[in-house]
Amino acid sequence: MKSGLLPFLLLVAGIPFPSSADEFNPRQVVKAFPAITDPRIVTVGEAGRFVEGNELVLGVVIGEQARAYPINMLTNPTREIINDRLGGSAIAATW
Amino acid sequence: MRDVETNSLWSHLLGKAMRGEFKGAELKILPGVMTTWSEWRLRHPRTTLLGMSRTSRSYREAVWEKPRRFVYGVHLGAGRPSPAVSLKRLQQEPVFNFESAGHAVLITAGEKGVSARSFNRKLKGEILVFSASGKGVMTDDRTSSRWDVFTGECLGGKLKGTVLSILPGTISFRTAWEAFFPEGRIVE
Repeated sequence: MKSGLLPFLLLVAGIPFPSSADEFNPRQVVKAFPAITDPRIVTVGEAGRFVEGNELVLGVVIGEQARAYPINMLTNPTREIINDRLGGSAIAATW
Repeated sequence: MRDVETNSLWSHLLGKAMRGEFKGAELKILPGVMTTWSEWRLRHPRTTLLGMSRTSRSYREAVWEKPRRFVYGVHLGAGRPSPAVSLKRLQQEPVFNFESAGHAVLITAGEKGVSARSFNRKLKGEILVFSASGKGVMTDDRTSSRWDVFTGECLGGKLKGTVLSILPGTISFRTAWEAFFPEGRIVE
């Protein structure tokens, strides 16, 4: 692993490929989608248009910054990995 | 998942590259939680939010009403067993102490299992046992100090100011966890 690689941090939730960890031979069931690297981020004040109170989110705090990723935005194969930056770190939120 | 740079294949649940140039490399798993927007916003009033369009509408709090579908799994590190506890058990015992491969683990959760997270309950060589003692509060058996169940911070008593260190973990579909950790223990 390159020493220059930034800590690529990961929130984890959801279903993996249909195989065990020992034999990692996932079936490719969808084509490779473009990476999401610059996701739209909104403030609490703007949130009402995007999410309702009882919807599930993945939440993370890094340093002083908190961010929530609504599961209902991640459930399509094109959305399952969100590359983001938070609190100075490069992270990936995954579903 | 793949990384764009090398097309290595990664398991997102393990946080590890399984094939390709990066094989064996591990990502640092962050202490994220799964909860409701209401609960998250309450505890993090200045939070930001991913603002993309919806791809579904069904992942709401009601999902927790079928707790047997889910477990909370703990990542103890490379080469160590990854134990899990059923969500149903956490709903019944939202301050849950157990041991796995020499690790003294504490899992706490809010109502219905929201914001489940795991901590190391070994502090300066001593293992503490925690019990719920009010909404969002727990006490330890050594000093009876009061602790915040969400932050792991001691709020009052002899250990005031101490913070338990977080162990990375995740809510997962049970079937997924069993597939990736077939030797792992699931506490029911």
